[in-house]
Amino acid sequence: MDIQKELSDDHIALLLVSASDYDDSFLHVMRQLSKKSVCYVTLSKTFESMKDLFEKKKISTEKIVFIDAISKTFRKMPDQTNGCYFVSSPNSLTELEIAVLKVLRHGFEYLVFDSLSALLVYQKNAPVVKLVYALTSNARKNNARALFYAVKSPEHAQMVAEVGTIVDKVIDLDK
Amino acid sequence: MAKTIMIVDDEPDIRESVKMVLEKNGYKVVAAVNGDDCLEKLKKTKPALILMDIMMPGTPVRDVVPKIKDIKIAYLSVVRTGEAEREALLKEKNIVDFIQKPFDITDLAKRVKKIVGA
Repeated sequence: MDIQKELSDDHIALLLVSASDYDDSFLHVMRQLSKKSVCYVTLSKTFESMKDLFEKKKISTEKIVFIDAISKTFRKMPDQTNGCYFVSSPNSLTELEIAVLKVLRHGFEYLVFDSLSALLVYQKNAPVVKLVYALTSNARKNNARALFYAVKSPEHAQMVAEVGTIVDKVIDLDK
Repeated sequence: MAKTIMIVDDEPDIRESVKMVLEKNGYKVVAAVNGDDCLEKLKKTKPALILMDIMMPGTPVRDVVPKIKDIKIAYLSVVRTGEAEREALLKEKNIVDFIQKPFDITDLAKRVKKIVGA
């Protein structure tokens, strides 16, 4: 799948992926976006582990700014470091939204949200859908494309259905 | 007298499977569904070890752990962390192990035995 081609006309996509293919899928996408400026929101992998992983897979992080919403839940972290803003926790949706807006305002081309499934550990469907709506509005205002990841599972079917009405397209990465 | 292990995890499957395996290995097991429940249960019991999931709804682990005094804690984490991060975490007070999920349940029992003894 060519993600840039998929988002040439439709700017906002929900990417559905099976748990077993998750890592390969997001690495495949990030490899394609390696020359683009990306705001990467991570909720299940710490910034440090993302850096390690991308380095290992030879994916440049030069143009990526991370928003790490998980590290602060179990460690004392500063509010920011080189290449990353740290948000208090996945419970802090307003803080998360503000951090994303702060980055997108600087003309970033892509927002990658990894993942809605991780967010559902902390939130019910309604706030997640509301956040997606807010982030897609921000992305559109700032001319950015946005990719929201979700793991395919029966528990998340309702959220996926609701988010599907907000985004421009839903892409099943397994097909 | 059997040592007590507390499992703190929002996933019922994890709590049940860990409880089952550790009880088979001769431990007494107390289960809590999140950090707040853990603190509540600690008012009545002092386990030898707490197995604590990092990624749970409710009060973040970073706010729960400082309230736990003199009890060993092993983190259970589906959150991927870097090696340097794990090493830094293991230097923190009380933190004795970092177990990546998904984990082998038999391996978990061995690690518990290593930390607290039989």
